[in-house]
Amino acid sequence: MKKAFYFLNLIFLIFSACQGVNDLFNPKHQPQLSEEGVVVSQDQVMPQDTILAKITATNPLDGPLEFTWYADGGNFMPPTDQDSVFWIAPVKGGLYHLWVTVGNSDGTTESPKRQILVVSTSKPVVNILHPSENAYFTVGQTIAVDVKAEHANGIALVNLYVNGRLQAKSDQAANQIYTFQLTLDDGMVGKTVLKAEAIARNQMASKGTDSITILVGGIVAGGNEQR
Amino acid sequence: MVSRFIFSLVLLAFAFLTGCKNLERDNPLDPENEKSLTYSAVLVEAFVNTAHPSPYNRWALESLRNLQEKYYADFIVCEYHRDLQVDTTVYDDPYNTPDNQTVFQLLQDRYVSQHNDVPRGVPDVYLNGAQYRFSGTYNAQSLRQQVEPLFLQQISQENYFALQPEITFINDTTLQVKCLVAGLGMHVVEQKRLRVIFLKKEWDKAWGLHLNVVTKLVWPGIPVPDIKKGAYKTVDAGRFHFKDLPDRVVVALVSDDELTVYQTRYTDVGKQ
Repeated sequence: MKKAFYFLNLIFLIFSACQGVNDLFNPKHQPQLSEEGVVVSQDQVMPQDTILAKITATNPLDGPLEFTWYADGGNFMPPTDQDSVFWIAPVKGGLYHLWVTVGNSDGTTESPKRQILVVSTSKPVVNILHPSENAYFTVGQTIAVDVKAEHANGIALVNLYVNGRLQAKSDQAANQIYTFQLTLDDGMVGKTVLKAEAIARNQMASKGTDSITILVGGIVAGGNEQR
Repeated sequence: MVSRFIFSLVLLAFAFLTGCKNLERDNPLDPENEKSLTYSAVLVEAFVNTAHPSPYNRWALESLRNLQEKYYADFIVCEYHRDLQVDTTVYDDPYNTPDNQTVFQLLQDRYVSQHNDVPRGVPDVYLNGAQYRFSGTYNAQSLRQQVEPLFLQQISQENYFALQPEITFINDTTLQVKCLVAGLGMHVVEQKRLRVIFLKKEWDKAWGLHLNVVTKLVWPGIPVPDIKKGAYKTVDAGRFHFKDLPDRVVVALVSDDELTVYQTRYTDVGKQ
């Protein structure tokens, strides 16, 4: 009899020590959110546009639900404690996120973050990193033209023009740097203008450019080459 | 009487020797003067072709001519005229001889090996050896604009090597070339060679340009025996035979690997 008493006490102690023992005996019934999460009227908007965001939640307990809306940019129009809210996109374009926490007397549940693309109206920032202005090369040389292009909405394409003529395109970048291999020919002898044009990945296809001038010397290959 | 004469002689000798002892070695060109030094002249070696119709070589020669007229003896231009292809006569330069081509190519290839970004071609211009390379041109001033700042930088530097070419006419077709070499400012001369270049001055009617055509290059350079501080030696480059005597003999003190030129001087043959 005594053994049984001690055994029960031991079991009680073990369960008391466990963090989740209350949960085990008194499970919480937090709000449940719909699988689709936050639903928005638009997920790609212009700056200062307003969108409607909505969450569908059910309360396993009696009583009201509390809604708290969050965003990493832009502003909410009051009221912001309902299951839907109006969000005003910020002036600066880019990727933003909306999410909500829904609470009841047992706790809160947080929704997944919903991504919103705010179209940037600014032009891509473009810089030709290499070669430098007035750098000198000779005909026949192949040079690397490194173009850094940035935009809040990303870059769709970078075009390289040589003396106004489209020479190459690239949508492949490493650390926002697009590299072109350019072989210099006799038509480029003298001052040659390299222009990089970056096109933003947005509805407006905003374009940004940068230009430099390089000097290309003419040279006749050979000097006793065997044919 | 005799004893008075001897006494006077001894006194004179004493005074002379005493005076000599105090003689300061302040001649800036005296190798034994610790502070001796001399000016630099820059050797400009241009590999060119005057037969190809493109204007690049002409532009290069025009730039060099302008600089030579401006800086005269400090800017010593030697033109190595090159054929473009060895087994054809296409664009063969009229100022070159087949004998020279192999030698010119050895020199150019050695220089090009130091600047792999641009392969061998013409015009290809070097300042004081392979130190500075200028390949190609894009107008008649482009080479001048590139070369002049570096040339001015070169001649502004103190130079501790003295060269004094001595040319002797042996006969109508033969020259004897010697050169006195000294290290100034207590510098030794070690592991150096003497490059000897013979130039013929030509007037190119088609281009309206004076040319400084290399008719012979001593390759490899003649080894210069090591010279101690404060000393000098005369290097005998030997006798050279010509069908037509050159107008100018250029001598240059170069590194053992022929890549660096330390000092250059010339003598015009007609002014001997």
